[in-house]
Amino acid sequence: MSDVREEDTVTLIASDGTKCAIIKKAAIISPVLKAMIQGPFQEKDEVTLPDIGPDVLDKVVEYLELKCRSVREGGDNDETAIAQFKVPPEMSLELLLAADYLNV
Amino acid sequence: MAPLTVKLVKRNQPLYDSFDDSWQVVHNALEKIFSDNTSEVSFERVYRVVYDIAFLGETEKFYKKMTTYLIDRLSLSSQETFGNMDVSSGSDSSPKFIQCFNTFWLANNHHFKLIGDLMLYFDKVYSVPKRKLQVIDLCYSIFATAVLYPLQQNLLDAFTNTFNKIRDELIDSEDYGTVLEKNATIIAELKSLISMMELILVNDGNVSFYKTSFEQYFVDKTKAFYSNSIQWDNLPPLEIFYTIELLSPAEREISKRCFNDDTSSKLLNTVEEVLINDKASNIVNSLVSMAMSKQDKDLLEQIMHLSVENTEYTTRAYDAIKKYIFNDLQENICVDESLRRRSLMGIQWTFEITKKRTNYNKFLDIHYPNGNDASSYIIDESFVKFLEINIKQSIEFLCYYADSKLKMPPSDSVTLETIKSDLHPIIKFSESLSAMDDFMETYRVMLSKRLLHQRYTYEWEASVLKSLSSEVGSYLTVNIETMLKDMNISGDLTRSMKAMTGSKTTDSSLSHLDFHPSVLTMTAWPFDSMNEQEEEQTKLPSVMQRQLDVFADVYKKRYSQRILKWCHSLGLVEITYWFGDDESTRKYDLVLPFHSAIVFLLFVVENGENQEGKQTNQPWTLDRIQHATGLTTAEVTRQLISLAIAPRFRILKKTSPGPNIQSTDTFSINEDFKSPTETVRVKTVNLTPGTTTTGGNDGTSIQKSLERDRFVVTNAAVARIMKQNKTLMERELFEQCQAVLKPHFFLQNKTFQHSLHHLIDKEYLATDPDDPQVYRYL
Repeated sequence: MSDVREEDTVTLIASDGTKCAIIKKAAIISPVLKAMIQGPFQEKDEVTLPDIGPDVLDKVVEYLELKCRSVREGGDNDETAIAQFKVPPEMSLELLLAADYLNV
Repeated sequence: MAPLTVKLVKRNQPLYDSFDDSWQVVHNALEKIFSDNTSEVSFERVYRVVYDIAFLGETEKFYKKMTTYLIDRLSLSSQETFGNMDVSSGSDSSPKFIQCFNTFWLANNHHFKLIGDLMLYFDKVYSVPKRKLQVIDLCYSIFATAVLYPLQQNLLDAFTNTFNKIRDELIDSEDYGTVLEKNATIIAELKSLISMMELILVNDGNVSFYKTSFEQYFVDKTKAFYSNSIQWDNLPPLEIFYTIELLSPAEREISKRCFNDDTSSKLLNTVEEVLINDKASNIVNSLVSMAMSKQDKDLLEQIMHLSVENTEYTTRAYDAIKKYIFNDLQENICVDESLRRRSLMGIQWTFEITKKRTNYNKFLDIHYPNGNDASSYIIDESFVKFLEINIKQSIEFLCYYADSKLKMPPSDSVTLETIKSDLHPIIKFSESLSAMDDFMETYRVMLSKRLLHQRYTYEWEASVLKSLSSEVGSYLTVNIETMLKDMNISGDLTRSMKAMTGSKTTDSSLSHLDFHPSVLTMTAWPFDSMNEQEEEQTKLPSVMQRQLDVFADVYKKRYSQRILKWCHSLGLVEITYWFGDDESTRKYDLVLPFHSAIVFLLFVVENGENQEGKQTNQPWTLDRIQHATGLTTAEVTRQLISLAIAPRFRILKKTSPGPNIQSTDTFSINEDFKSPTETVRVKTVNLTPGTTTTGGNDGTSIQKSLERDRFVVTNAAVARIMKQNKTLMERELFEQCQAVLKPHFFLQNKTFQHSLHHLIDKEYLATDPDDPQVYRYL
């Protein structure tokens, strides 16, 4: 992630205030994040998501960036991308809620 | 394997407990959006409130609240924006209205998108599963009811006015680019409104506002624009034409820029309909006449290219050309009755026609739409229509013309090439004539005379025959082929006969006879079957008879199986005779029909070279002539009238004056005979009542043989059709026969009925016992 410039990233803030950077391109995979970032609203480079815990948020960012990369690399290898994405079982429900909220 | 542990997640508390509080947050956000004050709104917060509402199951209530709010809000802002505006139909205010409406729409469309984003979660859990309009579509729908419908008429009028204003400018200007450049802003606004109308769905989201309320309206307005905005009625045709020529490209230019392909082609069709169908089609007749009478090739080409796709217009234009040609022919081609002979009239008449045809060919040699070379088709169709007015006369005249050309001896100025090009139009016409068989029959009769009278050039005849055969079909030319073949064989025979007699020189008296026998295949030639008895009784001068015997010997040696019969009446005799006393003799080459010749030769023999040793001082009476020639009394009378009474060739004289021949009259050579030309072609008068002496001679026999042929062909056609169909109604049968026989001739009901009766008699057909209109094949 170090080669990514500052202005290409957005900061997501979890329920406990933990900050988590994500590439813009990955973030806008979620239509909700996209509307927030690109719309004329208060949110610009920082998006607070008080409903989502820090570990879950990490997982969300991991997923979005994985998805973004797989799309960029030529689309249809969703299968392999999903294979790489491991979800700890105890987190699954929370992650589902987050995914529902973010519409991904 | 590690046991699956599910951590129960306690959901975070909703931000607000009461729905009203939540709604208040949303309401504030919407207000901010509509007043473009969004930087104070936290998307996440509003989104979460909506999320909470959905979570608490208050979706239905929320949807209603949203709807009511949007209706109020949009009605209000519409009122604010357009309430004080002068939206009456003055065309000056139209562009302003368009601009205003477009700005209003663009702003709201932006708001709608933001609202749609905020309601993403709501749509997912409520609108989509419940099959309600998604929030953004709800916005559009409310926009339609609250803004668009109330202002519909104003908008459409303003749109039309604005658009028509640009149209006017385009029509007046020659440089479309500048006009479009100048109006770029307003065109962009119009385009934006078009996409608005396409976007907004009505009738439960099934169809766009554009389709239901705009497109047809605008097409109609376009029609009205082109029909009314120009004072068509006051313009002369040429002016109308040039205006029309300008309008289509202008309309194409602008509609292509604003509308989708579908509408743009609809508009162009409408314009085409108004301009081409209503306006151009009405003037195309006078335009074509103008172009043709002025010989303006360019204008004609422009007229033809005004509309490439509109077949109705093109057809009208073609028809106008045809009509013009036809009228021209009718007015300017007439029979010159002052000419002495009918054949001369025919030759002159046909010559004028071919001249016209050449001129039209040159003039109509332009580019036609769709790359068709329509000229020859147009020309021939009009000419044939003209020829059909008096088809009998036309056929006769065309054949006279062909005959006159083919009779000419070859020379430097008359070659196969000139003959081909002279006769080309005639051959072309023959193909399209309704009575093609009549044409061929007339042609055949004239050809037979050319051949028998040795006035033909074989190569030319063969070439014309080939062209004719490819145009009319070999069915009608097979006899002619046989005729030409006969002439070839005859030439061969004559040569071999000359070779034989030349070497023997048995009879020196034959040496001054130049004898050209023609052996004819009887069925191929256009003569009624010969009267054998009369022919056999004809007595020839002995020298001629000896010549015939020599030929008969030669023929028998070559074709022992064939029967040779003489048909003297078809022959032609050339006699060189010196008229007058010894001091002032005038030499004439007399060309006589055979019977005239043998009558005339009686006197020549009488006058000196009496080889038969007959008594020479008996006067020649009718009886004696008849006895000496063996011809019937009627035929002798006819010959004597031709030679002694008919005004032009009086080479005999009779003792009593007056136009009748009495048994007491005696005849002798008219030594005072004078003629302006050295060659005198004597014609035998025709005493059959009802026909004229000039040219009508073969009319009835052609007609008879035609009827006979047509009857036979019709019988065959009926039998063939009935064999296929087994039973047919009379009317169907007649129509089918007509279609089958069309290439040969136009089947008349009379011939058809005749043929039916014949076939019923012969038991090929029978009428149905139940229905006399139905025929059965047996």
